Amino acid sequence: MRGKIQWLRRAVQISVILMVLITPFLVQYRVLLANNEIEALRRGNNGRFSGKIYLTIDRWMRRPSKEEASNLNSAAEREKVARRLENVRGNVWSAEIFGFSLTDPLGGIESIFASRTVTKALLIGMLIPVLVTLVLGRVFCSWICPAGFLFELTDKMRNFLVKLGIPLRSISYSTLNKYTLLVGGLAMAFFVGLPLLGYFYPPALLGREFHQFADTQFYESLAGASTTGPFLFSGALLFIFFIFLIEITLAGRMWCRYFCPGGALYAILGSRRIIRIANTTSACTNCFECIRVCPMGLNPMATEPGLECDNCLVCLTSCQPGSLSLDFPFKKIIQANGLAKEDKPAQKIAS
Amino acid sequence: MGAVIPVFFPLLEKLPKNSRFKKFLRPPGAKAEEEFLRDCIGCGQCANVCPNKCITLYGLEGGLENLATPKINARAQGCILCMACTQVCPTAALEKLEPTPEGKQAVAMGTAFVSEDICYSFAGRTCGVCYHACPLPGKAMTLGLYEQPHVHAEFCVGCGLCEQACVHMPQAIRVVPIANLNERLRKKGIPA
Repeated sequence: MRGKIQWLRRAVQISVILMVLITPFLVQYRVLLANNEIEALRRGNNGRFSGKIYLTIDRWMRRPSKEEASNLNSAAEREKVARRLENVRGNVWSAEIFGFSLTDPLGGIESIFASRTVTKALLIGMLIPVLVTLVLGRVFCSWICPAGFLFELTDKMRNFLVKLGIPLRSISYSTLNKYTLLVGGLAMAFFVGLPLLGYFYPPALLGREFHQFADTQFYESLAGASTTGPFLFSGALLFIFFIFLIEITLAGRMWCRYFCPGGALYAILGSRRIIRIANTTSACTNCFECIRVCPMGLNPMATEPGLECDNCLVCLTSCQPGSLSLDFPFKKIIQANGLAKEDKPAQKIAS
Repeated sequence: MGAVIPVFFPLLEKLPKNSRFKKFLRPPGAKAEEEFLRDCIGCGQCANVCPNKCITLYGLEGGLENLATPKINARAQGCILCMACTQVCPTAALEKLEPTPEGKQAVAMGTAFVSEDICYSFAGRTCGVCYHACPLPGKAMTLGLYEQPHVHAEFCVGCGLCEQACVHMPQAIRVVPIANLNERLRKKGIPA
């Protein structure tokens, strides 16, 4: 069961990344569909990636039932499908998924600070992320953030390079840096009215870049020729690539640990989280495995995991004696009534 | 570091905002420029729902304060006033409007100005393309002799369809964004 938690986490991360990748193309496909340009696209398709991707989406949309295949040629049916597709839009920064409006609390709070007013739409959008963070802690960083997933790859690459015998530096900064950035950015928004934090917040940048990419592909598919040349992306991906390089060579997980303003906000929101990692010290063998694997560079053996823990549960998975466990308020009551299974790994080792 | 930043705030407020760059139209329902820039978080949902892809996002060409905010380049594609973008804004930087005649009239994106020296109709060659593109014909725009367009600023919402449709190159009718409009009128000595 413990090992499967990490599989679950990877599945969630990958599905979020797929959503971030596919949503921009769905958005552009909706425009093609509403303007009845799919037929023209099919006729003018000369094997370019841009044309292929929209025709592939078209095939998906027509697959569920054979009757709809013919109906999608009628204007009314096209409008119905386009209306349905309108409910999927945005990116991790702010999105709407089948009626659920989701806005990153960082963007929301920045907007509130800059405009000095609170709007209903914003509160509705921030409701679900804030509630989840209050209960589960900083899970956005470890379970959802697509940039976090990319930066986790740097850890693997570092391990690989170390195995090859390449010397890598690992500089550590103060974790207070990210709180300073958050406070500085919010103060900037409040006093000057410039909401700047969204411009160097990797998940927002990634979403924006993919939308830009799908947009260029839209025009390319209609033109049947390249409209942009090889430079599809703007500076934002360069910024992320720059962080990537630094994290591999100089400082492991630099951005998430020390500099991410969004992570800082989630950490503050989740500081009183209900579900925490706890060490039942009786089984602990002081193997220090959890300290070695912790992506945030923390010490899960300590009784209080603290502000920085993002509940990625890597330490829980790696703990061989089964000493670490999830702690929540009603756990003791549940265990006393025999509703929860006892932790088995400890018994296995004993036998 | 945190203690040093507030020292520069008064200086940052003095910076000339927006003055160096060409301004484009904002989507319908946008608040006044200053307020809009404070509210908008650059999520791009308005650009996502736009059915004729007239809303695009600023890159770095508009300066830091405009980065990732929506714009409408009227010459490339004007706004058809479907009001889809005003329904989806998560921060209410675009206020909700309905695609009814009253809702369309409530839009204030800018005002069209005719360059009479290059307009075909004013040179005696009957054209009238901009009038036929106007979503509020007879109110925002009326026709004179040789189909000469006359814009009525109190009804013109600045959707930019006339600028998109203009057959003259460069365009003989231009929509000036509402954020530029007051400056421009002030320069001419007309009270805003």
